[in-house]
Amino acid sequence: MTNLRKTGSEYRVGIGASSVLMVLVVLALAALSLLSLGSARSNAALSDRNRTMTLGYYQAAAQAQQTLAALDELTQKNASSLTDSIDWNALFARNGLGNVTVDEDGSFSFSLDAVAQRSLVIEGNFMPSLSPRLTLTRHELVSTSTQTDTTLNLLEP
Amino acid sequence: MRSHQNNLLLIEMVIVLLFFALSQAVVLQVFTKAQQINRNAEIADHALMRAEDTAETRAAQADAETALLSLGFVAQENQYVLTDADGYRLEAGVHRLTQPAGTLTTVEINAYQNDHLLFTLPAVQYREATTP
Repeated sequence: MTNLRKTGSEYRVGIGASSVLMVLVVLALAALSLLSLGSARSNAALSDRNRTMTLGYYQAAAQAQQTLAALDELTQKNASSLTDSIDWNALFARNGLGNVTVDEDGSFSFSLDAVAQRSLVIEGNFMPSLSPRLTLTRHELVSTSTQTDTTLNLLEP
Repeated sequence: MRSHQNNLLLIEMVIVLLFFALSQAVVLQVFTKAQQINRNAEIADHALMRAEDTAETRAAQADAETALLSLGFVAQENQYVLTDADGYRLEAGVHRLTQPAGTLTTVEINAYQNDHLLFTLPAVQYREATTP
């Protein structure tokens, strides 16, 4: 030990070294913790958005089934008295089914809002005198966003 | 001179340790909060996936009760309950509205985490009455 001191090869911790080390470690840990918190928050926000969109679809689908039930009930009751699509449309409008449209070609359609600029489109065949009276031909979630694609197609020639 | 330096070093080390402990307490709280947020999001995601699975299975089967029982739900006081080890609970209530034209079956699936309602997912299906 005495020799080491004499040769000057002894290592000592100087005043201030521990402070510098602590500041570096605390800064690193603080940065990591904030990054972790930010990541967790964005993850939670994504999860919330996914939940909102999924529930929006299921609520629209549930509403569509309720509309179909009301539509079918009215169709069954009035199958013998109504024949014209105009009369059917008027009947549906009077009974709170104003969004349902019956066309002359024997089809019906309506759409429901499904949250986040999407709507659930329902289309089908309308045959009051047959069984089944309503047959679905389309049950599709479509985007109602009018925003156009403004990205640059750099990879296309 | 040497003794004075040692004393200064000792005082600095004590201050450093105290400040380090204080900052670690704060940093650990932030880490814990981040972990809790992630855990809650994960539980809600799993619950949503299970609820969707329940709704789709219900749509594929004719009888709502049979579909719920096949997925592991247990009948309890007019509703069906599924408790998952992940930390969420699903409660499904079945309601039927029968009219001359057909039957509207509603399965309302409520997801809970520690008795806190996460969401309600409706699974509704209308079946036209079959005519002989």
